[in-house]
Amino acid sequence: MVAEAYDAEIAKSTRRRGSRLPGHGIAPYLYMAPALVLFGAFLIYPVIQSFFYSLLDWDGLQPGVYVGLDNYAQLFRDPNFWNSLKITLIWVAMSGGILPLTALVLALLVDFGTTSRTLGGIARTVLFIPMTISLVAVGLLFTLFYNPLLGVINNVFLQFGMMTAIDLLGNSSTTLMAIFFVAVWQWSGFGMVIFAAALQGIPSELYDAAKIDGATKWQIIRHVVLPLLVPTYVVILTLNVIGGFKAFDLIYVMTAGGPAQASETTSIFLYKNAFVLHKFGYGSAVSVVLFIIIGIATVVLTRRRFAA
Amino acid sequence: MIRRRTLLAGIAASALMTLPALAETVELTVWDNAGNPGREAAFAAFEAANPDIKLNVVTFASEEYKTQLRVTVAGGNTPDLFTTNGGFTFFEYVDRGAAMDITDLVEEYGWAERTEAEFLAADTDENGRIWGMPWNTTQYWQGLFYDKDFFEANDIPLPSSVEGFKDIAQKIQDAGRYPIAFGDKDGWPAILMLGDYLVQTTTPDEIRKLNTGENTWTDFKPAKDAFEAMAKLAADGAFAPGFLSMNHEAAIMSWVGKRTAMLYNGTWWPNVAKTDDPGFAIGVAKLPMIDPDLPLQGTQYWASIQLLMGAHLEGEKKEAAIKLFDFLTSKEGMILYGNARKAITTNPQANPEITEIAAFFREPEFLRQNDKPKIQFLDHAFPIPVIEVIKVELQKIMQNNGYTVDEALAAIEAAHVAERKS
Repeated sequence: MVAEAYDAEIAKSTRRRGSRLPGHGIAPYLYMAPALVLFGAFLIYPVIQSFFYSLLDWDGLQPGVYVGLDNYAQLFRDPNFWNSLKITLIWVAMSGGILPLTALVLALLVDFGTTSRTLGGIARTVLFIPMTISLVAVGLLFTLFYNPLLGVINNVFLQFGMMTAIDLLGNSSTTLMAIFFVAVWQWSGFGMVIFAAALQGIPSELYDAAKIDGATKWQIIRHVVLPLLVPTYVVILTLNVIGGFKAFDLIYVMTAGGPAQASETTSIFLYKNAFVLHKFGYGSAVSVVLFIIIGIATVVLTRRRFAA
Repeated sequence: MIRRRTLLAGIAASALMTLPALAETVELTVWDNAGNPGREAAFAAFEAANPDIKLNVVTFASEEYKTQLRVTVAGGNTPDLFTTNGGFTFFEYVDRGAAMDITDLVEEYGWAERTEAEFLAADTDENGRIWGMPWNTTQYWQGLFYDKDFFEANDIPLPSSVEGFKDIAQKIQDAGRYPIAFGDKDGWPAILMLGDYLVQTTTPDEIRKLNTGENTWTDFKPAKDAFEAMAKLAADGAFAPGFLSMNHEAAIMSWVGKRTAMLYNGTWWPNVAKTDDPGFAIGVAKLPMIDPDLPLQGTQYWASIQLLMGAHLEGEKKEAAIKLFDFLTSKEGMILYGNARKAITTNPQANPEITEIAAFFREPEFLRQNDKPKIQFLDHAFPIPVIEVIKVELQKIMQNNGYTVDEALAAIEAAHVAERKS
């Protein structure tokens, strides 16, 4: 009875948007204050400050000169920016299209490939291990693997007389895919763990009912499991798309955006303008545009997530 | 009560023993490129001789160092002493007010005697003020290290011209190796090679005119010749696979590991390889010439690293920094540096007493450059935005996928026009 009354009160207060939590005064807000202060200081304030800097011609040391929207006008005329945006969108498309799929496949293989809980646990741990390694270390490691003179991959090919030395990272047409393979190796385990948790949350009654109805393993996956994993899939898709827009560290370590800007994402373009060319105002304009793009993508995907 | 007194007395005694030591120790923050045994030896000797001065030496690897130094200076945390490349990069820190004017100190301490006049002139602004001193050992370019044993065993002639390199590249590959180890991931090695090719056919003065607009990239024939030479070498298979994706250190290791027959030089390769004996006889050949009959018109300036003091220094710290600066550039400090690096230094007083100079520094292919007119390493001879465009354009033409030298030169000129205006 008490619980029902409490639920009713909560439901009522939730409907009254903008009103204080009933019977608590300002206490809840005081509890939230430290988090809000930190959020404001380390997220909201830098974003506002970046927008302010984007209106300046500023080298980072001398006082900036107000130039209005000139940095934005210059940015939209800059072919290097459009090149970086194209590369970022390719990376986002690969991140959104491939990473959730590989994660899903791994999760299904682990979950349905063995009936042993121990073996499944070991498999999940092994597949998750790449996630625990520093991105820089992974980048350096795979740079060495890919090295056509010193690397393992080419040496294996050469041992079998399969091909001459190939330079995956030094070729404009293959470099992005070669780096993305590393991202798949490292990040699939992350999505796999989330899918695995979602799989374990599916009630066993549904499997039992499907088996009683004579469903095969594939039919169970197709008609029971996959539909129930859609919300999880959208969450992982959202995370990968947002991460894709921000792609920097792995690519910077492996190619620094080269060769000849073939892997220069917008984040690397931003970094080079701000910290190599000392165009902090221009770099801030890039960051504001990137922020807006990521914001739009996040809103779109979040709505889809709630719809799912 | 007695115990409390004893305790207080103990604390007081400890404080008395500690405080004077803390007060007398001055800590200096020094920023430098990582992995230079010569400078490490000099820092260690200074600390041993000056126990009242503690050095906090912060180092980063090559490209990372350039970025980190810029960021820390931009953030208002200029190190007490720091090193940087010369040319435009050097004056960037001067213009930002990060460097101390050392003109009076050069006079007072006689520092001008510790280097060549042309080196000091390069650290002097148009008003005659001096802002730093060169502090490094020989770094020759315009050459190729090669495995003498391999060339002799396979009866392969040394390359002399860009035009004739293709046949030699084929012979080297037929003998089981790739020709030249060259790692341009970071962009600067190709710019240095471009500098080498420019001074094969034109003088440093003419190259500098690109900064004023008296010469333009699109109309300057030596620039076109140099770009075409590099594009041809790449097309003819002169560079080992991976030259656009590996850095210079990896290139050095592939040469030391006998995967290539030659190395586009970095005279500091023993530091990277951790040995100066890779197990084969080392020779030094000319970088293939655009015109083998034409003598070199200049050379890239080898006093490339400059030592600066922070403009913010004052009081005890300033005195300590001057003391360190004085030691590092002195004859004594440079002998330590030169012997550890096995190379001659920017200090002519020290050079006669350096006993460990590596044999390859005596090779005629290097020494032929000493009396030539000099220009800064090309990656510091132009404004940074221009350098960044050159890096990209060189990589585009060396990929040989239809991008032309004229397109590359037009892009560089456009970037340089903007810088000349500003």
